[in-house]
Amino acid sequence: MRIKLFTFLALGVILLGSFYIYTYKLNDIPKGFYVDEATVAYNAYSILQTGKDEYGKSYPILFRLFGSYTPPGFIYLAVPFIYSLGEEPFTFRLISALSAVVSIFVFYVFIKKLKLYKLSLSYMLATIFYAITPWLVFNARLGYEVTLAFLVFNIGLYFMCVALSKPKNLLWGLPILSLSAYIAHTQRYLFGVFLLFYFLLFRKQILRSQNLRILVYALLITLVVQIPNLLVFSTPAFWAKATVLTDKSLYQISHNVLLQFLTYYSPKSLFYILPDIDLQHQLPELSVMYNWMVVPFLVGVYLLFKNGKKINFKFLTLIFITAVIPAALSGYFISIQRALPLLFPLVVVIGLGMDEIARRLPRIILLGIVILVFSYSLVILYKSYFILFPKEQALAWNYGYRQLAEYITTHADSHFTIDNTRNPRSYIELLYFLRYPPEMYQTEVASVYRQMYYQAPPTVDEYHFGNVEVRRLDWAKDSCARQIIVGDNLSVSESQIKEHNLAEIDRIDDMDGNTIFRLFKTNPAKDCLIQ
Amino acid sequence: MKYELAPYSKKIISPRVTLAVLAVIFLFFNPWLAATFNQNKFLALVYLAAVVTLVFAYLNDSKFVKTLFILLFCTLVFFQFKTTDYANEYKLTPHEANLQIARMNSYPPSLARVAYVLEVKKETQLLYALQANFFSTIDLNLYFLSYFALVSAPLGIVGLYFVLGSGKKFVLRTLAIAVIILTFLGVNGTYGPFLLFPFIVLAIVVCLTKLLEKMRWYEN
Repeated sequence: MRIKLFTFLALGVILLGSFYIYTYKLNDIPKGFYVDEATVAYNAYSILQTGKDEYGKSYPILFRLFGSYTPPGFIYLAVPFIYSLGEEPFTFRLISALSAVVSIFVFYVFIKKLKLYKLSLSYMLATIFYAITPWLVFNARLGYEVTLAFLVFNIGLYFMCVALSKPKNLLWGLPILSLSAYIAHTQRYLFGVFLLFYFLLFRKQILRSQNLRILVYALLITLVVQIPNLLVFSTPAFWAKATVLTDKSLYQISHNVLLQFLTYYSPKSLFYILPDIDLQHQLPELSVMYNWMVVPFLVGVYLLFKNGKKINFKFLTLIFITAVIPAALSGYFISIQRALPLLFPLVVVIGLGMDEIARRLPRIILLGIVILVFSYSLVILYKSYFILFPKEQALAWNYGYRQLAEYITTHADSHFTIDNTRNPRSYIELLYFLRYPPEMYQTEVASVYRQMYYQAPPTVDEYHFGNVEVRRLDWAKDSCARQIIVGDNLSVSESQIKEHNLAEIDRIDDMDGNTIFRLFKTNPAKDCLIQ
Repeated sequence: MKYELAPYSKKIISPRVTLAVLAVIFLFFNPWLAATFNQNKFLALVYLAAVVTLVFAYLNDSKFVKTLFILLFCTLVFFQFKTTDYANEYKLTPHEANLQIARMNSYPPSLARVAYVLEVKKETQLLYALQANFFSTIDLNLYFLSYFALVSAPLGIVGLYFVLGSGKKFVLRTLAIAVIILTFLGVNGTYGPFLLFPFIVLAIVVCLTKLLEKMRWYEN
C-alpha cells in the first residue's frame, strides 16, 4: 500500500513537472510559428469557421495542405481546442504538450508490463528520464501531429504487447494502432511494417486456433476503422508521401537504406549531434538524448542482444528495429521527426542499461549519481532549449511573419507583394497571422484543387488573397505597380533598388537586430516613365 | 582436407578457415588497407600483422601471440600519435569563437556567471572537445563509410557483441585503451583512426566464423 502510494505520488510529481516544462512560455518558444504549424492551424481554423479546408473541400479525409495530404486527426482534434482557447500558437502546441504528458503515463505502464528491469526503482528512473529527454521536450512543444500520433501508436503497442499473453487485447491493440494512421504519415506506414513482423515473430503466441475468432474480430474492427482511408486508398493523395527511392539499382537502394539505419542508430547521432539537414529540428549543442545516456545505452543494447530470445526482449527488439524502417525508406536525408517512434524503445533500452548499472552500485552512490545527472540534464536542457534555441533557430521557425502581418494590417490600403523564392510556403503564415477569412480565401484559391482534390494537382507557388500577393518577384511588372515589395536580404539587391527607384520604408529584424524582411515602396511614376 | 556437412559440432573453426576469412575481409571489406599500402607500406604491414595476431590471440589465447599483438599495438599507437595533429582538436575556429561570443550574449544578465562556465571556461571547452572526439571515435558511420565497406557494418556490429561478451580481458582492455587514446587525439589523423581498425576486423571475423559454425562446417 505504501509502495503504491509512493508510486502514485512520484508519477504525479513527474507528470506535473513535465507539464510545466512542456508548457513554459509555450506561445513564445519556439520563436516564430513554423509553416507546418501554421498550415495545420489555419486549416483547423477554416474547418471551425466553414466546415471546409483552405481549398474549400468539406471535411476532407486527407488534408491537402502543401500537397502532403496529411492525415486529418490532429486538425480535427484542434477544432474544439480553438473553440475553447482561441487561435494562438499556444492552442496547437498545447495538444502536443498534453500528448507528451499522457505518453509519460503510458510509458510507465508499458515498461511495467514488459518487466525488463530487475530493480523496481529502475521503472521510475526510466520514466523520469523519459519525461525530460530532449526529443520528447522538443516534440511536446510543436503545433502539429507527430506527438499525438506517437502517443496513440504507443497505446496500441501496449495492447499488442499484452495480447501476447492475453490475446483478447488484440481487439484493442489492432484498432488503436490503426487509428494512429489517421494522425501522421509515419504511423500509416509503421502500422503495416510493425504488424508484418509482429505476426511473423509471435506467430506461435498469436496464430493459434483458439485465437482465431478474436483475430478475425480484431481485423474486422480494424477494417471498419480504416473505411475512410480505404475510400481514398487508390488516389494519388493517399500515396503523396510514399517517396520512392529512385535510384536505378537495387545496390544503391540497399546502400542508402543501410546507411540511414547506421545513422539513426549511431551513438553520435543520438547522443551528440543530429545530422538532420532541417534546421527546424535541431537544438543547439544537444541531440535527441543527453550525452551521458550513451553509457547506459551501450549496456542496454548489449543486454538486448543477450536476452533476445525472451519474449519481452523480443518484443522490445521488434519495436526498436521497426521504428526506424519508415524513416529509412522515406528518402535520402535523415529526418529525426520521421524516426520519433524510436524514442520509446530507445529510452527503454537506456533504462535497461541504467537498471544494470544501478544494481551494481550502493544505494547512496546511486542516489548521488541520479541527482547529479538529473540536475546536469536539466541545466543542459534549459541552456539549449530555453536560452540558445529561441535565438539561433528563430529564422528556421519562420520568425518575422507575425510582425509582417501586423504591418500589413496597419497598412490595409496598400498592396503587398512578398517574395517567396526561399520559402514557397510562406503564404500560409500570412493567412494565419492575418486571420484571413477562410470563406474568402476558398473563393480566391484555384478551384482545380477542390475539384480534383484527391488527384493531387501540382502546386503553383503563387498566392493572392486580399491585398497580398505571395510569389516570386517579376521586375518587368512589379516596379510599375503602386505597391509595397517585401523580401529578405537576397530578394532585392542594391543595384535593383537604384534601377527600379525603390524606397526602403521599413525593416523587420530578428532578436539580434539582423534583418529578416525589407519593405520597399515602388515608384511607378518614375520607374515606368524612364522605361 | 574435406569439408562436409555434419551433425552439430562444437568444433572451433580451424586456422586455415580463419585466415581465409581474414583474406576475404581485407580484399572486400577494408579498402583502407590497399590505399594505405600505397602511401605507407610499413604502417600497412604493421596493421596487417596486428590484425592477424589479435584475431589469433582472441581465438587461441596464446600468451606469445598476445605479447606480439601488444608490441604491434604499441607501434600503431606510436603511428597514431605521429600522424594526428591533435592540437587542432582543442583550438576554436573563427566561427566557433564568434558563436561563443554570441552565445554569451544570449544569456540573461542574471545568469552571466553560468554563461561563462558553460560557454567560455577553458575546462568546459576542453570537456566539449573531448566529448566531440569521443563521439566521433564511437561513430559507426565513420568506420563503415570511409574505411570499411558499408555491407560489413551488420557483421561488425554483431561481431562486436560477441567480442564484448567474450569476457576476454586482454581484448577488452586494449580496445578501451584505443578508445581513450582516440578520445584525446581525435579521429582526423592522416590515415584516420586506424588504432581501432584491428578490433573492427576482429568483430567481423568473429561474426563470420560464428556464421560458419552455425552452418556446421568443420575440418574433416
